[in-house]
Amino acid sequence: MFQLSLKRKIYLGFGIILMLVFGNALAVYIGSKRITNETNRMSEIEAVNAVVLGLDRDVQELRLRADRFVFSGRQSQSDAAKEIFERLRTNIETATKQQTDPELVTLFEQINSRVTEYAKHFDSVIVERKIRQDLVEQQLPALAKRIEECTSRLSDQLSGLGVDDQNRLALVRSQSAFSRAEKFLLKYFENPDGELVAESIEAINDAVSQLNEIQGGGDQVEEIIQAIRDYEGVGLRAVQATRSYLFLRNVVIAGEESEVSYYSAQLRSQAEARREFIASQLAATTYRVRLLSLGIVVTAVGLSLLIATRLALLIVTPISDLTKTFERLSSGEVLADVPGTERTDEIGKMATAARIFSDQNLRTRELLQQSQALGRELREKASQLQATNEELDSFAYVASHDLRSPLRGIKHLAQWIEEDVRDDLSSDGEVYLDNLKVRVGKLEVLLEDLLDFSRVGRINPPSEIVEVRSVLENIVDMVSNPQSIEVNWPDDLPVFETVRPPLEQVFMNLVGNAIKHNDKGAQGCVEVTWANGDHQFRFSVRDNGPGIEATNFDRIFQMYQRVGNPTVEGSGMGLAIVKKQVEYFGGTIEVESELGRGTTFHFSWPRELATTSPEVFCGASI
Amino acid sequence: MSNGTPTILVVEDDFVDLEIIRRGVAKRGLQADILNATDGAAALQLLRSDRLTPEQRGQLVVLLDINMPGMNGHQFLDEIRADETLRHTVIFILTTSDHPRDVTRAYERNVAGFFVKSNLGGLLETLSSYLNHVKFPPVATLQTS
Repeated sequence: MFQLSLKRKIYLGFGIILMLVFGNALAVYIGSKRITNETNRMSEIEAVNAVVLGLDRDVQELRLRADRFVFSGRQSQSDAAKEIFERLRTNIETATKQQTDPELVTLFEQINSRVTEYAKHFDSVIVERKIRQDLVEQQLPALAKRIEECTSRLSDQLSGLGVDDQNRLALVRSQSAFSRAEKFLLKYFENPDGELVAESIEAINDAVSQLNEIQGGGDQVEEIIQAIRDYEGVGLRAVQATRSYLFLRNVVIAGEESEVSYYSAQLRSQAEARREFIASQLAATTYRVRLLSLGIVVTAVGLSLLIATRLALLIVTPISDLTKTFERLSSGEVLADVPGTERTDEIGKMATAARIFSDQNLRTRELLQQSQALGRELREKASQLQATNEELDSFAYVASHDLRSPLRGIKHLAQWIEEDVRDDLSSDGEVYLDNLKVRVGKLEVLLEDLLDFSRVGRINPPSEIVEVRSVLENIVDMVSNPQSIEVNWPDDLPVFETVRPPLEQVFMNLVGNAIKHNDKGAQGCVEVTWANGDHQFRFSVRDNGPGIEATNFDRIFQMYQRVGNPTVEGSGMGLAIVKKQVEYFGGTIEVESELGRGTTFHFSWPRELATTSPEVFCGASI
Repeated sequence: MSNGTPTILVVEDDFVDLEIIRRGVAKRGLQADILNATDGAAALQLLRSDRLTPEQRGQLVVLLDINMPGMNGHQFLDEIRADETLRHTVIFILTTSDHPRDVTRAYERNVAGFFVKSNLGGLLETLSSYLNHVKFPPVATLQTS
């Protein structure tokens, strides 16, 4: 098969099937048309048969009429015969006109010419018959009467004259001969037999010779002879007429009749032959049409099956293969081989697409593996980082915690020296002891703050409903405020569920710093405000203290970093603790400040604590 | 209640802490003899020896540190509560740890109280009242020889 596109293949297949169906319809149409034609010709032939049958019947009746006319000479018979002629002629003409077959037409024309001849001869018969009728019925009786009158006159004359008996005998003989002749002639007219005519003529001649023997008859005899001769002439004329029409009737017309019969028989057999021929043609055509149609149907069915199977093999199987392939691909598989990529049709294109799909899957898988590897690495890094952070926190905690115990020992020992042996010390020793106590105190603060810092996130106290107002009140109570600086806050501070100690620690440091660093004396003022964020509260602590230089904004949040007035006490850990605490709860802290005018710290605090609280290291190690 | 002077056995390895207690007791004018053992094993050895008079045993309070080198406080508690003659001993915990695990474990061994060292004042205050009013458990008559 050519490498056609599937669409073309399908169109081609259906086109072939359609053409076959159309061809079948065409064959059936042409076949039925032919059969109709044959049937028409068949009925034409049958019409010819009917015409011929009528023709034969008419011809027979004509013969009957003609015979009757010849016998009776009655006009009604001749009229009937003429009527039949007319009918025949009309029928034949109609049939001739309807006929298309030239042979049949010729035959019809032959019959027509025969019938015309027949009619012509029949007219002659009528004429001759009329003549004989006239002679026999009019002239011959008239002549016979005249002869009889003349004879009776002669007889009277002879008797008057007294002529001898010889003459009278001759006359009587002549009379008897004539009447014999008359009798023969009449017989002839009833039964035309040549003998009778001969005998009649002999009798006439006898009559004439008898008359010739009469002497003294004079003119009378001559007149009678003349009359008898006339009679003879008329009689012969009648005989001739009779012979003539009998000849016409028996020879000529019979000839015509037999001609007509012959042609009609010819017509019949011709028609029969035609009918048989057409019938055989009809059967053949029917058979052919049936065969052709069957052949086309069988071919169409076979071809359809072939095309359908071929298309199914060509399309359905590869498509179901492709469907399986795509199903596997969509589940993320990578295929080593996609079937059908070598094809150039639509399926080939789809297979190529599947191939690309597979490649994409491969790439996706590789990317996934890469990203998983990266993710693993990242997680490892993160956990390493977390471990490091924890280690650092743990270190800070352990260091600050474990350093506290010996420090407390030193503090107590110093205290006991002071209590027990201060009076025994030199003045230098007293200075040293005081210095020792101050240093110990500083170290204690440092360690305490470091411990606080390392505790952020280690200890997770339970959440409770916290009134921010009460938190601030607590702080104001606790914090040392020698200059009685005002601390203000609005009445509508929020009340919400959160962990109290960390929040308190944050406020404590911020408010404590503000008070500690105040340089405006009694005019110093601290103000706490708040605002609603999306998921957070935003608190601000503003003072009118000395302010912080912008270059120090980063430093202030770092561990043990102190800026501003060095005489102000502090470990430098406060803001580091605040930042760590705020960030531990997912918030942010910012500072804005103007030197000499004051500082504002903004920090955010979650409205709701995260459901999965960060991992808690409760008293990691003591 | 009793006529004699109560005895306080401080199981503590740290000299300063011991001294704090001594000075605290002295400062408050608490009438009590103070003995020291530097770890649980030493304390047990002392209690099982005959170095204590029955009077001392009759009014004995132990202040026990938990974190010590050698036998620590928990091990000491396990031992003493398993000891037929010493199981009734009145013991207060005095330690730096306030871890719930330590607190729970101590009370499971029937300690009389749990105090952190930073609250030594509270303990001494309690003791001054306690020693004046408490009825000590009778001394077991075992430990004959």
